[in-house]
Amino acid sequence: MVDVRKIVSEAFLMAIIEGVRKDGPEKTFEWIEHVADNLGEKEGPGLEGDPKGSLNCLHICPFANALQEFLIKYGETPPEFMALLDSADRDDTFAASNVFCIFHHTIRTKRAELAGRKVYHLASSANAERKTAYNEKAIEAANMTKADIDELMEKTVCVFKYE
Amino acid sequence: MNLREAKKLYDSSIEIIKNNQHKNGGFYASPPGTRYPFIYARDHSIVVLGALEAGLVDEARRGLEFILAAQKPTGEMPQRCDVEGTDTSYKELQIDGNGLVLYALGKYCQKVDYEIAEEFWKNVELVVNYILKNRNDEINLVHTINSIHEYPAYEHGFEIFANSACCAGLIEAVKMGNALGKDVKRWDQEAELIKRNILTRLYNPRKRTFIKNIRIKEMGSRPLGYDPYASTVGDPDAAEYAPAYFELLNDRDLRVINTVRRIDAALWDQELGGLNRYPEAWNRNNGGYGPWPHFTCQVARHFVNIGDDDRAEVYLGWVVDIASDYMLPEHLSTIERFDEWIDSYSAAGIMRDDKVVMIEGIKSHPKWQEGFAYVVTPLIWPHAEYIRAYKSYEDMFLGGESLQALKRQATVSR
Repeated sequence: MVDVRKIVSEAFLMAIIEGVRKDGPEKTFEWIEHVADNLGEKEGPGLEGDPKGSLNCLHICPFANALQEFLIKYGETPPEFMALLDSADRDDTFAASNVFCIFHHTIRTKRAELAGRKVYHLASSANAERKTAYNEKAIEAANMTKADIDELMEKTVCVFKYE
Repeated sequence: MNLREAKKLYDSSIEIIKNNQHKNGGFYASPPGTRYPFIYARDHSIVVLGALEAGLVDEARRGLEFILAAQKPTGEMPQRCDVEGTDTSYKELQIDGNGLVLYALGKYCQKVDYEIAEEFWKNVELVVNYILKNRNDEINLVHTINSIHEYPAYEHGFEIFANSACCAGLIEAVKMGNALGKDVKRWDQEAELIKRNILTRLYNPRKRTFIKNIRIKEMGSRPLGYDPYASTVGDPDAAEYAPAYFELLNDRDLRVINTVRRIDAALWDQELGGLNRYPEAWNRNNGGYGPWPHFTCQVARHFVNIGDDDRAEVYLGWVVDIASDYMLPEHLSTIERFDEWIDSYSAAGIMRDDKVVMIEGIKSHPKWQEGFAYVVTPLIWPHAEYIRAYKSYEDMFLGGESLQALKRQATVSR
């Protein structure tokens, strides 16, 4: 039987794969940002996460289950996701550890902007390997070191800073 | 009950409410530096009601202005926000907070005036529409994921506190609309429909009690019987008093009396006194299973309202007795139960790091040395409930006119 919620998130991920194949990672990246921006606007001003000193963290990634289920069903991480993450790497905005990070952090950014704040994505590790993706410029701007972030990442999956 | 101490706790509660209002108007759930230094729509609305009862009209108004301005574009009230009114929600839908804001606003208007309702009428419309969007048209009840206990395992579905709060909020919106000359006929019909369904679908005539929840995963499941969660939760829960708490029924209604009788029998803590919120076996007992002053105060008001001064005194007197330095905790427990909670959560691998702060607070509280685990002190909500319960008690049993009226009634009965 079709589980609508699961299939909608699967459809989103499949659309990303199709988008990268058809239009390339840059255009798909823009499309994700556009969708997320609209959703962030609809949700309105808001700040996320558990405050930890000057930073905010997420203890679990709200998208991790959807991604994990997708990967269980479709096998290893599709190369299209990797191409997209490479695109995100070229942008200093993200510390994208999975394809949903682009979507999620764009929503977070829009909601922060509506609340009159800026938000920097410092690190995340929401992938099957728990491999941390860093945004070194943001870490530096936050006057932190990678070691500081690693310490935080032992107990969280995503770190960001509001200004 | 020690009346002098009861009055001191009342006075202290007023001070605590005043001291925990940020200059922007939001009432902290617990003071800055403690576990809940945010503004939660549910706690905040009840504190507004407590403030109103204590005559803190300006504070109540600022509180209402704050929370109405914090409304999300969808019409939803944030589960919690920061002192600037920026949404910092971290849990899924808690629709009771939406009904509660309307309910508190309505009570303010009746006590003071309708100017604030006129000023924020657009917000009122948005909240009402948001609530109605979450109403299922098969059984005409409002769907939620969380309610008063923030515990989806037992609250996901058509839950009684959430439905009573939303229904009462709609009724208040209708009253405000009528006072302002707005067309609110549809809201009136909707409120009546929801009320009728609370009183039938969330009431079990065989057991003569309200039930906690009709557990349904998806609001749009049609027919509901095929929803994967479709079931009912009939365990005793202090929240089943909600239809009377929100004035949908009179406390003297036999359905309410029997529901409370069951709550009292099942949830009064035999070891510590005070009212537990739900059965221990639900096993989400952060800090250790134990009684909650704010539920104890809610049900104390029921006993006051039915004129049962003995039971009212036991309930209210317990709250007075457990206050520590005239401050009330979220709940209290025993060291043994506290240890049991730590053991069971640790063994299951679900103990969270942020609980460490709570654990430190419990162990450093002076009552720990006396054998009690006091969890989050002070929580502001129970102070608001205490104000409301104490005022009812005072009016009914201690006050001039009420006392005279009762005496006259007693004389006539004789």
